[in-house]
Amino acid sequence: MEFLKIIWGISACILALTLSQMPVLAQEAPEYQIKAAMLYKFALFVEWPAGAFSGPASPFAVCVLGTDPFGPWLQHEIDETPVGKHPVVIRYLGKAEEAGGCQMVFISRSERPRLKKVLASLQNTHALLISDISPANEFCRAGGMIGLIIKNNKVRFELNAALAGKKGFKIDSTMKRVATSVKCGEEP
Amino acid sequence: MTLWCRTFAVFLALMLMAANSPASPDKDSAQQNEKSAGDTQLPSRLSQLGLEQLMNIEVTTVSRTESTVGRSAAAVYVITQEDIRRSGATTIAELLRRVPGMDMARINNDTWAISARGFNDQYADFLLVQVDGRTVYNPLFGGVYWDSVVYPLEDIERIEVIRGPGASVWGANAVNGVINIITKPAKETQGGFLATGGGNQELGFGTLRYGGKLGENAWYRVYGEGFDRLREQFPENTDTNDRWYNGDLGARVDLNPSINDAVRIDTQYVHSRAGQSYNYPQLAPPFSFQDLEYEITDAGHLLGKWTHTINKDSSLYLLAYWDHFGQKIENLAQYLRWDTYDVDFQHNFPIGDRQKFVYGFGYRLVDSSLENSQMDNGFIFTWDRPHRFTNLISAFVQDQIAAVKDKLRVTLGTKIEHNDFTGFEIQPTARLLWTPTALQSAWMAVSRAVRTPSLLEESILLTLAPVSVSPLVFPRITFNTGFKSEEVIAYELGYRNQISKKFSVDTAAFYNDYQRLRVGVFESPSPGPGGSFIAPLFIENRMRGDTYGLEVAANWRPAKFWRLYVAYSFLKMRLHADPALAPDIIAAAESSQGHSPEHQVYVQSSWDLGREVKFDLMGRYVSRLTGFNPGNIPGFPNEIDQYIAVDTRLAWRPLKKWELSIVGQNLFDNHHPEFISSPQGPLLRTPVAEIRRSVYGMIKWNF
Repeated sequence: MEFLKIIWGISACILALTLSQMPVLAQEAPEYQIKAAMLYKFALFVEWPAGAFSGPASPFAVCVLGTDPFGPWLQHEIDETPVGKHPVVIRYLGKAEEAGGCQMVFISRSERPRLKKVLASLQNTHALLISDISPANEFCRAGGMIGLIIKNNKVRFELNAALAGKKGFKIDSTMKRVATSVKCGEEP
Repeated sequence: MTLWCRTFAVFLALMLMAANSPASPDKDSAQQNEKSAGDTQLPSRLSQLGLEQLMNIEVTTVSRTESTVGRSAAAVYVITQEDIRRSGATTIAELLRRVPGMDMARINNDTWAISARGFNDQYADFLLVQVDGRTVYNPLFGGVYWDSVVYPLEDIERIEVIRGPGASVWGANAVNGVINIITKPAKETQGGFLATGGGNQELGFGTLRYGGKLGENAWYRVYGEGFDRLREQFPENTDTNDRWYNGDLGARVDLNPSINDAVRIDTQYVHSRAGQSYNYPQLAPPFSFQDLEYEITDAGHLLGKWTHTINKDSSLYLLAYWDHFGQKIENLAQYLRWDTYDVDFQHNFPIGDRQKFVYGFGYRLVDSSLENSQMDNGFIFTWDRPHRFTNLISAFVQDQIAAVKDKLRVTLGTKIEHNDFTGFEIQPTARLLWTPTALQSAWMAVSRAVRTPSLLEESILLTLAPVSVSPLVFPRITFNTGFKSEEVIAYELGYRNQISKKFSVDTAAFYNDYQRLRVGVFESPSPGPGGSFIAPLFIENRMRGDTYGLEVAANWRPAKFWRLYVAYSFLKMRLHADPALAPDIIAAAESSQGHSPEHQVYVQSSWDLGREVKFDLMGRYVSRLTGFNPGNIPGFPNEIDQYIAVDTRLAWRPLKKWELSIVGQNLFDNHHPEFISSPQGPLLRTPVAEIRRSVYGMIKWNF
C-alpha cells in the first residue's frame, strides 16, 4: 500500500503542477517542420537521373541555399533514415556555385532578389530545385521544379513536371496526383 | 505543497534546465520563437507520416492559431507508430491498453479479453477488428482470436480505435467499437530491417523484413517473424500450459499503374501453437479432466485492393480477399476450418459544395467446416450443421452535410445487411459536429447497432464438466436457431479542446441501451449416454441492460523533450436478466458486469534524453473486478483487487541504423491476474493465469 501512496502522490503532484504551470502562451506553428518532412518525402517519391550519385552508397545531400529558415527541423526530420542506400547529409550553401554534389537544393526566400541568376547557375547540377518563394509560378518559370505554397493553412506544392522530366527526374505518380498543379511555371 | 510535491517540483525544474542544455535535441534557443513540436496528436517526426497526411496538417501563421483538432463526430483515438515503438509492447493486443474506453486484460500468455465500453470476455463479440480493410471477424463466435492477429509492429503505420457503434459503415459486430490496423505502404518500408531479442518471459523473438522496387511504379516488402513465449502461472503453481509459439510470413506489393490508380496486394500466413488448459467432461470417473492442449492454428489471407481517384473530391475502390482459418485441437482430435471470401466496393463524391456522399456494397461468403471431437465420438463437441455456407450481403450510404460552413456538420448514414440467420438488419446513425473555433469541437451521435448470431449460437452442442456426480448430470450448451441479434441504441457526446500547442484534451461520454442480450438457460435434464443425464443449456435472448461512462485523454508537452499522456475511463454496467429465470441463472448472467473495471487510468511519461536516448515510463491503474464462481473452481477468482502495473522502456541509438532497447513490464509485481472469467454461462472458458514480470532486451538494425 506504501507503493500505492507513492504513485498517488506523484499523480497528484503532476496534476497540481499541470494546473499551476499550464502554458498559456500561443505557440507559432511548426511550418518549417512540415516543410522539412516534405523534403524528405520528396526524396522518396523522386528517382534521380543516372549520374546524380557518384556511387551506390554515396551520400544524399540536402542543401539549403541562403538564410536557413528550418532551424532544428531539417536535422530533426530527415537525418535518421537513409534514402534508399544513400545516407542523408545536410549542407548549408553560401552561394549557388557550391551546389555540386547536392541531390536537393532548397532555395531560401533570402535568394528572392537574385532568383534568376541563382537558378540559372543551378541548372547544370543534378539537384532537385525546391523553394517556398512566392509566387511559385515565378520560381518555376525561372527554372525551379517544386514550389511549396500554403493553401488553406496547409502546406501544398506545385510541380514543374515538364522541366523535372527534361532533367531526367522520374516523379512518382502519387506525388503528381497530390500536387496542387503539375504545370507550375506554364502559362495558363 | 507537501514535501512530495516539492521534491517533484525540483525534479521538474532539473528536467526543464536539461531542456536548455546543449545535449537536448532542439538546442537552438534562438529558434525558440520559430515553433515547437507542439501538436500532441502527431508523431515527433512528421516524416513518419505519408505525403498526403503531411498535406493535411495545418500550419499556424501569426494571425491565426490553428491546429489539428480532430474533426470527426466520433470517439476516435489513433495509436501512432511512435506510440507503438515507445510502448515496448510485443503484441498488437497489448498496444490497446493506452486507449481510453478500452477494456484490455490478458487472460494468459496467448489469450486476451478485449472489448470497448464493457462486456469484456474471452469471447468478447461487440468489437470489430480490421487489418488493412480485412475483417478479422471470427465467424465461429463473432470475436477475435488475438493470437492469430500478428504483424511486424515496426511496419504498422497506425491503429485507429473508434469507441461506440461503427455499424452504419462497418456493419454488424461494430456494436461497441471498431479497431482499424493500418500497415505502412511498401514504398515506406524499403531496405532491410532486423529486430531480435529475448528475456525472461520472451524466450526469443525475431523479425526480418526487406523492401525493394519491382519497377518504375511498384514496390514490395516481404517479412517473416517468429517468437516463443514462456508460460504464465496459476496461483496454485499448477500448470497453465500457455506456452505460445508463433511464426508468420507475409508480403505486400503497392503498384501505381497510372496517376489516378493505386493497387495493393498483400498476403500473410500465420502458424500459431498456443497452449490452453480446459476442463472437459468424461463419462468415466472422475467425470471430468483438465486437458492441457495445444491449439494449432494455420491461418492466411490474400487481399487485393484497387483505388481509383476520379478527382480531388471523388474516388472509388474495390477490395476483395480470401481468408483461411484452420485450427486443430490435438488432444480432442478436433479440426475447425473456415474460409471467408469477401468483396467490397465504395464510392465517394460531393453533391454541390456542401455535401459529401459515400455509398458502398459488400458480399461475404463463409465456407465453414466444424468437426466433432473425434477422441470421444463427439461427446464433448458436436455441431448441428458441421458444414455450411453462410452469406452476408450489405449496402451502406452516408451523407455529410455542412449545415453551416466550417461550423456545423450533420452526418446521416445507415447500413442495410442481409444475413442467413436473422435476415435484414438496419443500422443507422445520426451525428452532429460543431466546431465553434478552430481549436475546439463538440459532437453528438445517436446510433443503432446489432451483433448478429454466430455459427456457434446456430450450431453448437458442447458438453461441460458435470454439475453433479450422483446423479451424473452434464450441462450441454445447446444451439438455438431462433437466437436473435443482440441490439444497442447508443447515445454519445464528445468534446475536444486544444487548449494550447502544448496541451490538449479529448473527452467522450456515452449512454448505451442494450436489448436481447445472451443468457444461458438450463432446461430439465433428460437421459444421456452411460446412465448420465444431459441438462441442455439453451442460448437465449433474455437480458437487457444499459451502460454509461466517461473517457478522457489528455496530452501535455511541458518541454520539447518531455511528453505526458493521461487517459481515464469510467464505466458503469447494469444488466437485468429476465426475472422469470431461476435465481442462479440470473446471478450468473448478470455477473458479467463485474468483468469490466469501473475505473481505469493510464499514464505515460516520455522523455527524449538527447537525440539518441528515449525513456518511457507507463503506469496503469485498474479498479476491482468481480466474478461469479460459487463452486470455487480453480482459475476463476471471485474477485481481483484493484492494481497498479508499471512498464518501462529505455532505448538507445548508438549509431543511426542501430537501436538497443530494454523493456520491463509489470515491474512492481512478481505476478498478478488481470481478468475474471466466468466458469458458468454459455461458453467454455480457459482459467485465468497470473501475468508475470517480464524483462527483455531488443536490437534493431536497419540495413
